[in-house]
Amino acid sequence: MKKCSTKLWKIMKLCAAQAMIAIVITGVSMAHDNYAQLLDKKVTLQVEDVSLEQALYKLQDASEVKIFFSLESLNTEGGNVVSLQAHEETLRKVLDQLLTPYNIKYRVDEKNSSIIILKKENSKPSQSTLSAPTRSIQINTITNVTGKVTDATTQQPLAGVNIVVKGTTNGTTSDADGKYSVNANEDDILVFSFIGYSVMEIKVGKQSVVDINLVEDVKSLNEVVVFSTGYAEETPERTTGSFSNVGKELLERNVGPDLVSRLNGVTPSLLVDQRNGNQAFFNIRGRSTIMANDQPLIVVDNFPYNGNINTINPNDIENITVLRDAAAASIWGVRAGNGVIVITTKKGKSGQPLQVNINTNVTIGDKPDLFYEKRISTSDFIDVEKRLFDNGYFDNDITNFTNPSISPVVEILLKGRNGELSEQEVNSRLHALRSNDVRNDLEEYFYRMSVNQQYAVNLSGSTERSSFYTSVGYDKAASNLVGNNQGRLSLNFQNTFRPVKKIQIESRLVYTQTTSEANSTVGSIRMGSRDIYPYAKLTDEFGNPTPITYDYSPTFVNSAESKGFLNWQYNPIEELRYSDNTGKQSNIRAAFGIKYDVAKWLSGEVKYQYENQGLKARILQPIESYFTRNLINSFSNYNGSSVTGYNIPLGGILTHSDQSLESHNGRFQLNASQMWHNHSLIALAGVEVREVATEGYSYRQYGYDPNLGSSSSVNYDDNFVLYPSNSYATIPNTNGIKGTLDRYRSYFANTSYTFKERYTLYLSGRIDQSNLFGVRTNQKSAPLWSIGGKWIVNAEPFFKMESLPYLSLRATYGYSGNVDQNVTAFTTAQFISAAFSQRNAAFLVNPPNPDLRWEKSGMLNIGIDFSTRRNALSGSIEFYNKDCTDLIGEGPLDPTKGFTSFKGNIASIKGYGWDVQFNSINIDRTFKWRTNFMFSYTTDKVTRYDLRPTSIWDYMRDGSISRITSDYVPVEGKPLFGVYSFSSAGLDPQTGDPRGYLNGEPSANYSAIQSSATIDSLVYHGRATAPVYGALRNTISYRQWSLSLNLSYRFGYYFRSPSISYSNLYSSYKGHQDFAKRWQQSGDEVSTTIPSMVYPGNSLRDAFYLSSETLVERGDNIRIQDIQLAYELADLNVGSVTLTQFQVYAYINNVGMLWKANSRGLDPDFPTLPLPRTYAIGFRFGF
Amino acid sequence: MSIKLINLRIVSIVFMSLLASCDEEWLDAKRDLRLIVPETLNDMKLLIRDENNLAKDNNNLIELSADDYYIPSASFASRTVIERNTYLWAKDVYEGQQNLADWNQAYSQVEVANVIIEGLSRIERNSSNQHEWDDVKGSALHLRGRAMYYLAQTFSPPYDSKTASTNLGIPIRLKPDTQAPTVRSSLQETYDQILADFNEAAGLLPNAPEFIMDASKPSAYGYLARCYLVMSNFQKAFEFSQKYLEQHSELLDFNTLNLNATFPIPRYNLEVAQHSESSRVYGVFVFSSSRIENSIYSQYANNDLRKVVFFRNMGSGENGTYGFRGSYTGGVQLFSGISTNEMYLIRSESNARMGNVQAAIKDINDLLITRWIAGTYIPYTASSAEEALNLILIERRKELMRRGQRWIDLRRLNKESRYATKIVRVLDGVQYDLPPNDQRYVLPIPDYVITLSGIQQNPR
Repeated sequence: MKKCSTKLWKIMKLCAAQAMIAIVITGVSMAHDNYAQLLDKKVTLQVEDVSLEQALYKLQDASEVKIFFSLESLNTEGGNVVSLQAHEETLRKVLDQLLTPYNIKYRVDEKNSSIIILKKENSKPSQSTLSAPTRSIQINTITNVTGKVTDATTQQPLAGVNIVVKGTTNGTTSDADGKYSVNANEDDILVFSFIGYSVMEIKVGKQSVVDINLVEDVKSLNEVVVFSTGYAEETPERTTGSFSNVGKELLERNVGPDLVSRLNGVTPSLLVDQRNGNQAFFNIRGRSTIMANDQPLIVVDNFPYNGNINTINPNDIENITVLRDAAAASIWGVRAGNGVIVITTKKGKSGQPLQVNINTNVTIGDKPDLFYEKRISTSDFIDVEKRLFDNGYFDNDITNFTNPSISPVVEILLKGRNGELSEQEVNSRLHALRSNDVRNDLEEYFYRMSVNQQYAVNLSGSTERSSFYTSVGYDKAASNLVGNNQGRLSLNFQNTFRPVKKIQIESRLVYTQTTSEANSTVGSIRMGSRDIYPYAKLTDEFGNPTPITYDYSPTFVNSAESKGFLNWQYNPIEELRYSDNTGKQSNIRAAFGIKYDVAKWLSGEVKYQYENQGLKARILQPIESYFTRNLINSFSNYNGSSVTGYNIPLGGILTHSDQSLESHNGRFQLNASQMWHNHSLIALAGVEVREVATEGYSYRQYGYDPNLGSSSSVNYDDNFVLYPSNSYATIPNTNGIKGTLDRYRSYFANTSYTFKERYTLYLSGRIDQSNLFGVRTNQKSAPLWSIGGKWIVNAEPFFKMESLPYLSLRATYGYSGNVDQNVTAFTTAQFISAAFSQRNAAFLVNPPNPDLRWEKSGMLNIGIDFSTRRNALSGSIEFYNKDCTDLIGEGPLDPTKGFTSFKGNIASIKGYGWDVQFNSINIDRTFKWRTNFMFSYTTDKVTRYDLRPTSIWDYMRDGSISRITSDYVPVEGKPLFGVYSFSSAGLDPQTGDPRGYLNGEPSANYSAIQSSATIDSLVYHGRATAPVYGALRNTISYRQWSLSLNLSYRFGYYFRSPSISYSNLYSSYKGHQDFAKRWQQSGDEVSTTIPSMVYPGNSLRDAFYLSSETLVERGDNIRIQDIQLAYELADLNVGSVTLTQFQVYAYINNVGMLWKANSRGLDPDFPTLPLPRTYAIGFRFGF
Repeated sequence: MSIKLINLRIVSIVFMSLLASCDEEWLDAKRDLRLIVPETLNDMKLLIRDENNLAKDNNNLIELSADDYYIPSASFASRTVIERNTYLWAKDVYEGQQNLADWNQAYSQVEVANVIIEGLSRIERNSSNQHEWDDVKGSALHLRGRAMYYLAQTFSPPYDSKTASTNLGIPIRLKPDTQAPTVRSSLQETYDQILADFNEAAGLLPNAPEFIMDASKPSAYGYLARCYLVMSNFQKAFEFSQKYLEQHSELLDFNTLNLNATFPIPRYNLEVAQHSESSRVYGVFVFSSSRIENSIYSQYANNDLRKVVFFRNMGSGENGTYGFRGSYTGGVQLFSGISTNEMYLIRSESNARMGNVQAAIKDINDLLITRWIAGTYIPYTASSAEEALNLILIERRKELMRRGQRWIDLRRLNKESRYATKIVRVLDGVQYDLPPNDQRYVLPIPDYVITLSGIQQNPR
């Protein structure tokens, strides 16, 4: 093992060194400042008897210039077999030779350094020019108008531009030099239109020469698409698999600083689930696993990305491809079971002149609405506390020697009981508290409007032998929580370098650094183990910060200082000042690749990527902070009357944690492509090794003095008697070390064969191996494969539907996989430090499982792609069927066996679904209206799960929100995440008890109801996650203005709404507003479903009510996700600089709910706190 | 062929051979730094030191069921389901509650012991490791015996040699294999296994533990003495308490304690041979939530220091009630380990049962003189074995308050009609009775265990 890893290291180090050299060399060569025009590029090409399409592909490879075309544009009558010999000819000449015979035009897209082949139907120059004069005879005052059409950005002549006299059929097209000539009279309006450019209208007037600059319209280029699988780039025409592409335009629409928000609602089949609050979960086509990682694989620039995707600067992203089916994803093998999101970042393109783009914006977010959570009113709460007090509920706490906290109301009541306050005085004091709501103070002192600033500058260009892309981005965010701020700096250097023909070297160095301050203390405001009492005031009547009742009773706290303890008060607003938590996350990604063209048809490439992430967190809790004072006090030596010494030194507590991740990825790959006559074959094969090592350390210093940097040692070994709890404990020791090492080795190959450009067959296979801990060697490998076919129907001679110029059918079947790295085949144990003696010890983690295997997910995908004339309506419809077997499941084990649960390959899931996308151009004139509609339907059903839960309550948890696998309760025949409830028989008219059914009769015997209930007797409502979801985006534009609005919808799911739990209210002070509407007297059961208040609290009764069908609601909703307004100007001259792009935009995100099925005013997608609405304004320009 | 092509070939050959040379070893690397597959003697030693799990005794249910305490009516409602149901000896104790330590944690201790014992069978015992090997194996056997001892006291009927071979004991698991089915053994088999484990452990363990929570010869003797007492085998109970006391006889003089401390008895004091404690800290284990009956408190003489050391006056608001604060854990946790005072009591009772009145009385006097204010103790005398036994049993109850022993003693003594006791609880004026030898002296096996294993439930 050692030998091997050393070798790997050496190779990797070598690669890294080469990458650095390449960067330096490219930097030097850039200094030449010699920008070649794209068409002047020298090309060597030899083709014989190949189709025009194949010839263009070869030309694309030879010239390294992207050539975009649709098969429709090449569909020339009388066959299109071409032969060509070109040696070091200009690209212009080669293109002319290839295309002129077929009368096919092209244009140069300088911005994207590509050639776009124009559709033939737009280019019938001979006919138009010929017909023009004849028709114009009818017009009296004819002028011959001539002129030149050029690209506004590059000033290059544009050939093939359609020029029509408005309201007539009279028109022409521009020639190769951009020149045109048309007959028109004075009052005529000339309409210039060209694919990829905005339409221009010019009144002829008295001019006879009309020169015009056409402005590129990026948005209309949506059919120019490249898919990246992370291993190869594919064009839509050849792919059989299911890809979904998110282009730059769509990514830029949303201005969020993170990728998660930008991916929300822009691509079908991808659902972003943010119900968990902090963490967003992606979901592509539903569930394929139960216990294993359920998140899609994120690939950035060809290799899996290990870091937090929010550290990637979205401004650096060129495009994102979502791989959905087995054929698309199987190239990623066992990690592709949940789909793959392939992110390609921007890079320099050959033949591109120097270009600078700047984007900057500011986003302001509303304060979160704390009152969204429906809490019990303060006045009701005080009445509850009074009732509890009268029943002696707090007597234990009052006499308890550990001095637990008692709320101000209980204190007042106690004084009343002890005769220290009159009844009248008690009532008036309570009355004074009734109008308080601590949330007002929290909003004022702990929340604010969020402000997010974004600055991004990038620079790209090329020289004869190299191209580069460099960017700098800086983001600054002040979050909604006072004290929480974040800054992100990202640097990106990318170079492509061609030292000699046939060799292409690519290097990339990306550095991002995220610094964050997490100083909000709002999360620690509470009273003992309870929530904060709702009438708490955080300031006194003069606005000065004031302490609240915290861990201990006020009497105890107030007498602490006189006994020699440090001040033991908790002052929430002051705490905010003493909070000093900073984190620094850095991420370095260095990639190096070399590609060598071994022969015309064969190239080999080696790619290597090194990734290093560091996360350093520093938490300083100064002596003024409650945490430190409390810890020092608890551990002090107290002789019953005064403090005699401290076991934790006086001073701050500094805790550091340091986590790092290092990964090496290496890939060797051979690419082959050959075309002859009616056949074309593309294949690739390779091997890949990958190692991801993580390490984590944490350490703490006590008695830290920030001025001197000094600290003191503590005694971690001995147990001390804690005051006032009298329990024994050692001083908290957070020093620790952890580490993981994942290794993968994979072999992969795929090939696609196309016959007559109509029929494509695709095959792929992959073997993955890993150091899955403890699995027998033969089970470490998982061979996964896929097969696919495609039929381009419109290419058939018999297909004559002119209204449907593009129609194709495709189907794939194959397997991808998944793995749960936390399960092992042997009995394993984990190191710990022994609880009392602090010696090294270990505890058993899991029972042995010698039969462990990889999870397998099979998927069938059938798709149809179509496009009507002029893309008026285009889109795709896909159907898929999933069959996931050998899934890891967990279930209860007879605890007599020593473990309470067991993990193994015990489960299967089946599922199917639809993904539909329609794009339509409804109006395409000066006023434009386009619609994008996305619809996804996905279902899953657990078909096998060998272990069953033992408690009926397990079914009541919704694991889809928490994504904690121990909350999952798979039921055979049902979706993995379902909503179940007890059927409800209404409230008991006599007592207000919630009732269920026992043997068919209404009953309030909860113990019997729960013990007799089975999964079959529960009400199954439906899925807990939306099976139907999607978005509808309408974009209208008029001249320079464009406005787009994105609606998103989710249908067909259920959720449990919160309500009152009396036992919870008593024990934790968590109360719900429903309290006010509770049953109070006979007859109330007609108008309310909320049970009566009972004392003592009956947790079984509360649990029954909270799990009853009464509270289950439909989650269906439609929301306005976002609105974007943009004003775009091109060809703006600022001094001597011409701006190629100038856009001002405004953007509103999380606009609001349009419709929801539930009548409780709840947002089912944000159970705790909805995302605040944000408003952004910014601009983009390029020159 | 160009030079570059040759170069590429070389690169690819190197790359391929690199992969090939990385044979399976490369993929055998350990995934998680902190995970181990327990194989070596040191691994086994690490496992036996997991004090968080192993220094705990799962005797919570029997302590909750016993009558060493009562719950004031006012706070009954705020107690947990398990506390309330065990307190009233309810028919349904668990109400569907999961993860009961008294079963789950006890059997996880058995599993740890089995993993170690099986692991050791693959590790050679030789001259360089024999002491360590023996210590680890002895500790594992000791652990298994302890876990099964408490399981038997909780979930099996009291031992009676006449019916033990037909009564149901607990499932005996001696291998770490999770595939083997769960079957209840007979009560006789259960006790035979417990005794076998402790006997073998006693032969392997060192005289003194490395740390006070580790097993040692005295602690194995202590458990054997306890077991034989439960089985009413007084000869053997005498033998093992004798063996224990030969090595470990020093008693704590209560005159040296700080009576003002919240918990006057120090943790890890000199009477303790092996420290372990009840695995859960239920509220009613703590003096603030439970009280001691005045009828018990008043049995302590005024010169008996235990009256102060063990009890805390709950203040004027409570009208002079008392809570227990005398745990050998020095805190709110209840002590359940092996200590010297208990051994004095076992030897004393065994002697009395065997008719050795003087020896029996001597042990009681030797113990009590350390419990009274110096110079005030008047030694007991007894003229008959029965007289001696009567006073020994009273002193036993007074000395072993809240140690998880009371329930075990009740089960054992109820078999003798002269000591059979009906215990009662009074709550809100309602009296709840538990007659001697009632079925409810055997706790039901948790429902989920019955569901998952299909073993026979105890009648209740």
